[in-house]
Order: sequence, then structure tokens, then C-alpha cells
Amino acid sequence: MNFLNALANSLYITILSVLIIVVLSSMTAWMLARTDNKLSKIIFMIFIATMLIPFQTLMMPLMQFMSTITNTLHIPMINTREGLIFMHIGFSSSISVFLYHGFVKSIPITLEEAATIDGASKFGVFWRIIFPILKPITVTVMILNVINIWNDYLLPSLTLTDKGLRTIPLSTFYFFGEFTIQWNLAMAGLMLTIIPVVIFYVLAQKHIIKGIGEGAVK
Amino acid sequence: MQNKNNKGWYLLFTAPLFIIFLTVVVIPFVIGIYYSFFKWDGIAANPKVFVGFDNFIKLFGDTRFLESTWKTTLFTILAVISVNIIGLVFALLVTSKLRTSNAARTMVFMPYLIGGLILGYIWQFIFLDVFTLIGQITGLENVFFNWLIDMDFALYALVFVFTWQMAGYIMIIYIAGIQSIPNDVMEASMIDGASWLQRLKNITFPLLMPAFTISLFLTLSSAFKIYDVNLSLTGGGPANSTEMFAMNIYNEIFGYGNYGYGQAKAIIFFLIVAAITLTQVYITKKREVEL
Repeated sequence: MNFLNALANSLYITILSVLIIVVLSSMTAWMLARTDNKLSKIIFMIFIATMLIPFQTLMMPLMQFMSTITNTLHIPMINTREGLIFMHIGFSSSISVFLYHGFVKSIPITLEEAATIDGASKFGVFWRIIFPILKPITVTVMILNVINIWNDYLLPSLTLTDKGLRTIPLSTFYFFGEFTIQWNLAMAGLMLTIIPVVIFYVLAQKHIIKGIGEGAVK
Repeated sequence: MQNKNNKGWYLLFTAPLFIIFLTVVVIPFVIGIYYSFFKWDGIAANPKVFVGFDNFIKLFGDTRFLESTWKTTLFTILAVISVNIIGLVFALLVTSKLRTSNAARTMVFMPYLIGGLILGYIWQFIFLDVFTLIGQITGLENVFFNWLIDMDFALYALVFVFTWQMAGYIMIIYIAGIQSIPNDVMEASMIDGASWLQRLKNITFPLLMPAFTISLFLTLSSAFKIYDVNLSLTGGGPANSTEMFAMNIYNEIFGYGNYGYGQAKAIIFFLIVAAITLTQVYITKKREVEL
């Protein structure tokens, strides 16, 4: 089943994607929440509206578009882990921006005004004051995205064709394709895939429960 | 000068994510609408034939597609009821002062972390071997057989595994809702002599409406869009009888190679999901009670 290889791929993709998602979506949501013009409202509406679009509606044109980019602009999108990370970021943006936006609105703007008076740049205000306050919702965003990206089967199955690039769900799928009757091997393989999840849960338990509750009520 | 400076920051903060988002979601969506008016087999060298609304008309006569729609709707109704009842029951259990609450919470939530695909494989094994074994031992063979070979029971198996996956997540949402009910309202009602059932019906349920809105929204949309569990548990089931919407679309595009037709189905899929979820949120929002 090539488990260690798949584990490494899954870790690489999940960790990088989640880190970039947290940084970019918090920045975007904060700027959208603090700027009160029509453009911000429209952009935010677009983010939310697309939450309704199921993946199946996008999968085919996305693959076509990505191959076009790969062929014409020579930026490798298909069959690379980086291309997959790029796509995961795109798909997570709606919900991540939505969660951050709601939270940012509840932070009093006086904090930022005080910092600006004291001479902080916009960058300084964001990174040294706002981002630490965002910790609870950042945890929620991280956890939701980790679960989604780690367990995702469909997007990697369409993007990654090399055997060596497979993530855990992919390698499980192909493993079951080859060994449909040898259940003892299959069960052993499944147990392996569950171990990282259990470890993750044991470490993050408190935060997961708290985060989902808060995210939902907001 | 201030204005120019601000615009610079605005772009810096929002542009990166927005560009990625445009490339990955918005542009493919628009391209998809374009593709749905064509007939194409996916190979770049072969021509795309413009067929207008033919694809859309065709899908109303496609029996397998209509079967899929019906099965998905049936599945969704059963799944939504099942997940919400179990989620709510466990939430009530966990928030009461019983000692097993932490362990129960962990066990109920764990399946959500494992992910649909792997859950499907685990339960495939259980239905295949464990169920038949129990059936042989106890003699209750009309309940404990391999559900996955029967056209009706395979659907129930899907509902079962989906509930197994989602109940924990929904339970957490209900727990948050229950914990947000202020204690004094409960105490006041107890002083006024309300029974446990009365408290449940007249205080807990109305105040849980926001949590119910969210959880109904989540279960409706995830149930309708189900794919991972479908793929690993039944793979479309005995003779395509459990081929849900999402799987039908996938098979049409990548299995049969009808890119344009499949994309047209995908657009209809989006419209149905959007219509159902927006209607549901509208109705449940109206019934939410403010404290």
C-alpha cells in the first residue's frame, strides 16, 4: 500500500494547504470586514454564494482549465502536489473567509485605531494585534480544513496520476481495488490509515469540540 | 495620497486569495456553463459540437439519471431525519450530568475524523463478513445478512454509514446550542413546576432553532452531495440501484466520456442543491426564536 509514502504526501499537502489558507483567508477577511465599500460587499457575496456549488459541477471544467494553464503558461498544475495545494486553497477560501469575517466583525475597531495612532503600519496592525486575537477562529479554520483536506478523495484522484504522489485516501482506494478479497490485509491497511487521525484527535480534542461549537453558533 | 496608499494595502491583502479563488472556482464554473451546451468526448483533438439545450432536454428522459435523483432524494430524507435525531439524542445525553459524557462524545465524533472513504470500506467488511456471521449464529437471517447485495437494504446501509459519519459532528453543534441556553430560564421554569418533558418541549426546542437551522443545512447539503461513502460502500450498489446523484455525474463524465452532457447534469445538480438549501435556510430562519 506504500503507506509511508502516502502518509508523507498527505502530510505535506495538508500542512502546507492549511498554513496558506489560514494566512491568506484571515488577511482577506479582515480587509473585507474593515473596508466598508461596495466592492468589499460584492466580493464577500461572491465568496458566500459559491459555497453552494457542489464539487461535481466544477471538477470537469477545472481539470480542463488546469491542463490549459499547464500547457500554455508552463506552470505545472496537474499531477503535482503544489497544483493540488493551489486548488485546495481555492476551494477552502469560501468557508474560511466566511468564518474569519464573522469573527473580525466582533473585534472592536478602537484597538486598531489606537495602534495606528501609535504609528503602526497596516501590516503591523494586522500581524501584531489582530491575528493573535483571531486565535480561536484560526483553530476552528485549521481543524475543519485539516479534516477536509486529509480525507479528500475526489480532487486528488483527478489531479494526481503518478503512483508516487498518492495521498492516503487514494492509496487506500487503489489498495482495495487490488485486494478485494484478502480482508485481513485490507483491514490491517485500514487500521494504519486511522492511526494518524486518532493521534491528531487525542492532541487536538479540546480545540476541535470548542471550535466547531463556536463556528456553528456564529 | 491617503487613498492611493489604502488601495495598495487593500490589494495586497485581498488579491492573492481572490485570484486563487477566481482561478479555482469562479472561472471553472463559468466555463462549465459554457461546456454544458456542447457535445464532447473529452479528447482535445475531437470537435466540440454545439447542441444548445439538447443536453438539458435529454436528461429529463434519462431513466438512470431520474432513478438517481429519486434514490438521492429518498436517501437524503432518511439521512437527515436519522442524523438529526441521533445527534440531538446524544447531545442531550452528553450535556446531562452523566459520567459517561466525555467517552460518549469522543466515540460518537471519531467517525467524522476518519473520513467517508475509509468508513465505507470498514462497513463494507462489516456487512459482508460480520453481519452474515451474526446471522448464522443467531438465526436472525432476515436482519443480519449482507445488506449490500439487496437493492433496498443497500440504500439503508448507506443511510446507516452516513449517520455514523455525521452524527458526531451534528451532536457537537447541538451541544453548543444547548449550552447557550441561559440557566436562569431553565431554573425559572423549574420553580414554576414544569416537568422535564415540558421543559424540553417549550424551552429547549424553540431555543435550539438556530442550531437546528445550521445542522439541517449541513445535513441536507452533505447528504445530497454524498460521494465518498457511496463509492467505497456500494460503488453504485447492486446494479446501479444505489448510484447517487454525484456518482451518476462522475460516471457520465469520466466513465462514459460524455463531457458536455455530464456537465449539463452537474449544472442541474447545482441548481437543485442551491434551491433546496436556500429554501430550507429561509424557512428555518423565520422560525428562530429570539431570547
